[in-house]
Formats: sequence, structure tokens, C-alpha cells
Amino acid sequence: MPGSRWEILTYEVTTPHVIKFIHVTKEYARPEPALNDVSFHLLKGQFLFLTGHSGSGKSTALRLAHLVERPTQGEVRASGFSSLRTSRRDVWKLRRQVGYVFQDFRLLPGRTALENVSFALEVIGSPKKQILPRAQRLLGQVGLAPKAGAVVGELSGGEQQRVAIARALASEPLLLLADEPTGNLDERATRGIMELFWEVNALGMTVLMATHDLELMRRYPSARVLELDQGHLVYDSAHTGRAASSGDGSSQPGANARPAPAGELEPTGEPARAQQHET
Amino acid sequence: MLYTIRETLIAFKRAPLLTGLSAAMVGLALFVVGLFGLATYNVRLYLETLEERVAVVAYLRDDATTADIATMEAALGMLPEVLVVEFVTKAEALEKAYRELPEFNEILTDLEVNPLPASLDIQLRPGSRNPATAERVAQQAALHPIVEEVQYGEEWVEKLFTLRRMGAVTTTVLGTAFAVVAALIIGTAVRIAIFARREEIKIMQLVGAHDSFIHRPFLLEGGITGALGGALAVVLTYTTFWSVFNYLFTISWIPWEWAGIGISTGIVFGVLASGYAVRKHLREV
Repeated sequence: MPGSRWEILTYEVTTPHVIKFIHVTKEYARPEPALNDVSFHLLKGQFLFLTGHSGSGKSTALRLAHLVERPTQGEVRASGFSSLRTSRRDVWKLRRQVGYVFQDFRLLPGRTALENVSFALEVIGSPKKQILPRAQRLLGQVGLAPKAGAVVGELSGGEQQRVAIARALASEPLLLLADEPTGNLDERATRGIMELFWEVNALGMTVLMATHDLELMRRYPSARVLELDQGHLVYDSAHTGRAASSGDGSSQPGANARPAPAGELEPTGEPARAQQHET
Repeated sequence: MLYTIRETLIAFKRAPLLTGLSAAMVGLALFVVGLFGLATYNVRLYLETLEERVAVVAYLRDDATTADIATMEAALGMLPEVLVVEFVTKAEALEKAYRELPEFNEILTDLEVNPLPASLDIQLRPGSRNPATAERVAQQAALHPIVEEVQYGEEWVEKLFTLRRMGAVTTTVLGTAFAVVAALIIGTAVRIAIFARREEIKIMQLVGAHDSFIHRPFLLEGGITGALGGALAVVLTYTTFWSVFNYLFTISWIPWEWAGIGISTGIVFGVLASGYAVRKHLREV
């Protein structure tokens, strides 16, 4: 998108599968595994909603994709890094290719929006002279240029999440993981944040977003949906033909990444899965 | 590097009390090491003056000829452990007895014949003034037929060296123990600093910081805490030396290289303890 405000982001994805879960089981010290033999893959440029009730394994799946944790059985491949072959010492390489956005933002308190984004750039070893202008551009891209100098504690929830997204984009990741990124936001802020995610997805960045907000998913019917229930993968829209994607879960980057106009939203308020099961 | 220095200074600025207390505790632990160093050094100096008196004396038969004595003197002088061989005549021995044993002057004056034998006093080289060498040289001297008897103060030489060995072992053991205490204090202080910055560390890991990038500010922090503690220990040790020297008795100050080694040890322990603490934390998260 030359000339646009996203010009800074350029992606070169060489592997078709940005994420691949191969028979992944994750067990903790409790009887039922958090994830139970879950397999799916995510192609570059896709926008995926990972949904399910609390405790269904959404966050566990995201943590596994970021190699914060390792599967008990099976293999997770994210951005070319395998959970079986990537040592703890090399995890930082993966982290620079996979951005992470949290529900609670996880910003450095007491520091400004600009300092938070600059910090991420400094951490990943960006040239010193480029840090400030890059951080300013990233904040501009998420619509926060006027508040770059504000301490994050003084910003609204939506604004703090924008800072977190700018920070996640600092390393120009191939994949963006988001764990309930709108969970703490009001309706208006949610729309703004979702718009940002769609914009980066339209540039070719793969997005995997965990959410239990069915209303949110209905607003973006072109996105792929996976549902987890008690650690089992119980639904994949790519294999039912509901979503605008091919049978293997592929979809065109950006092409599917448009929210439905307000008039296209299902008036019933029923979740996509329920609708699918009825057909 | 700029980041490392800036983050370290921020950490000190954020928790000056923690840094100050850690440095003080490290300083006190290393001060104990310094006191042992001061005591050991002075004991060593005293023992060295005693060691200089470790000598082998070969008492000669009255019928020993000048030629025999010269031959023996030359033979002993060629031994590598021997510094110098001095011939003491019967008259000189008597004169020495008068000088060193004034309480026996009257008895000595009454004697018609000088009962004291001539001798060869054998001084050993520094480094060879130990019981084993003294005994070996004494055995060599005893081989000469003109020798009546050889003495080298076996008992007190043994005691002297036992004392010295005990001093060295005590200093090593207690010094090491307190140095470990200093390292534990630094490690604990860094653990507290890590705990205070755990969110920051987590964020650094999430955005892709290399472990060494996370380590560096903490290593510098540990090194500086160790250096401050080491410097404090030197100041306290010197104050102790000065007080003892001025108000109690004369002692010698340790070589300044030792003080430098003390501070360097503080730095090394600080860096190692911090490195261990950070690595442990990163493994846990």
C-alpha cells in the first residue's frame, strides 16, 4: 500500500502456513487437558477468530503459538519455528516475527506512549537514529500521534490498546496474536481497534484473535472461525464452507478482511456456529 | 550499551534504598574478609621475622682443624637451600653467651676453660625456612666427622609452621564463607530488583529481546553494587587499621593490591550473582 500510512509495514512471507498445530495436546496439573489433540493450520494473510467459552483453551493455544509454553504432545509451528526444534535461547527470533496483543495491554506504566513503542524498538535492536521517528510513525499509524507524549496511565483503554498494537507492530511481524484485545473496551473503542486489525490484515499480516465476543465475530463474517470447547476443536468455518475461504482454510489476504456493513449483520444475534449447524 | 547504562541508573534511581542497603551488606560481609586479610597479613609479617631466625647450628669438635672447617663450610655453602654459612669460634660463642645470657655472666667469668664449642651457623634462604629443609640441611651437616652435634630448634620450628598453616586455613575458609555471603546478598538484591521489574522483563521477552539484552542492566547493577560494597569494605578495614595503629599497637596496612583484589572480587561476585539470579528468573518465566 505505497503512500499510505501503513507504508512502513512490508511483509515477505515465504511459508504458506504461518501457524500449524499438529495433534497438539497441552496438559496442566488438572484432570482434563487444556488442549486435546488439536490440529489446524493458518495460511498467510488469513484473519482467524479463535472462540470458545472461558477455559476452552483459547489463551493456551495463543501461548503455544508464541512458544511461551510447549505442547505436552504434538507440535506447534509458528512463522517457521517449531516447538520441537526451537530452543529456549532462540525463542526471541520467533517473538520478533509474531506480535502479541493482550486484553490488559501490558504497557510500561509511568512511561509515555512514545516511550513504550520506542522501548520495543530498542529491545529488538533497531538503529538508534531510527527509533524515535519509527515509533512516531507507528503511533501515527494507529491514530495516536497527537497523544504520543501522554503517559499511558492517562490514556483511555482504547488508546492504550492502540499503543499496544503499535508496539506489537514494531518488529514488523508476520503474524499478530491477540488475546481478547477488545475485552476491556467499550463498543466504540472496540470498533476502532478492530478496524486497525483489519487494516494490518489487509496489508497481508496474518491475524489470530482469541475472543468470546460473538457479536464481534458476526460483524466480520468473512473471517475464519475456529471454536474450542473444553480443549477440543469443535468447529472450523473453513471446513464447512460458511466463510469466504477455500476448503483448506486458505483465503485471500485483505480480500476477506472487510467487516460486513451494518445491514448485513445477522439480526438474530445467533452465533455463526449455531447458524452453520442449522444449515 | 547506552541502554544498559541508562536502565541501570534508572534502577538505582528507582530504588536507592535497596541499592544502598545491598551495597552496605556486601560491604560488611567483605569487611569481615578484609579484617581477616589484615590479621593474616600482620601475623604473616611477624612469622617472617621469626622465620628469619630459623637456622641450623652445627657444633664442632674441639679437635676440628681449620682446613676441615673450611672444607665443611664450602660444602654446606654449595647447598641450594643455604644462604650463608658463618663460622663462630669458641671465643665468639662465649662473647655471644655473655651478651645474650647476662644472668649467667658470673658463672661464665668463673670458668677457667671456655666450655662452649665452635660452630657453623647455617642461615637458610627465604622460602627454605621450613622444618623439612632445616632437617635435611641438619642431616647433611651431621655427616661431617668434625661435627659434635647439630641443632635447628625442631620443636619451635614445627610449632611456627603449624601456626602459620592454621592462620592460612582459617583465613581461606572464613574469607570464602563471607565472600559467599556477599554473593548471596547481591544475588538476593538483584532478585528483588528483578521482581520489581518483572513486568518489564516479560514485555521485553514478548517483543523479542535477546536474553543477553535483558541480562546486561542487571549484570551492571550487580557489578556496581559489588564495587560499592568492596570500596566500603576497604574504607572500613582501613578505619580499623588506623584505629588499632593509633590507639592500640603497631600493625602494618595490607598491600594496596590486596584492597584492589577485594574490590575486584566484589565486582566479580556481583556480576556472577546477578547473572545467576537473572538466568534463573528467565528460566522460570
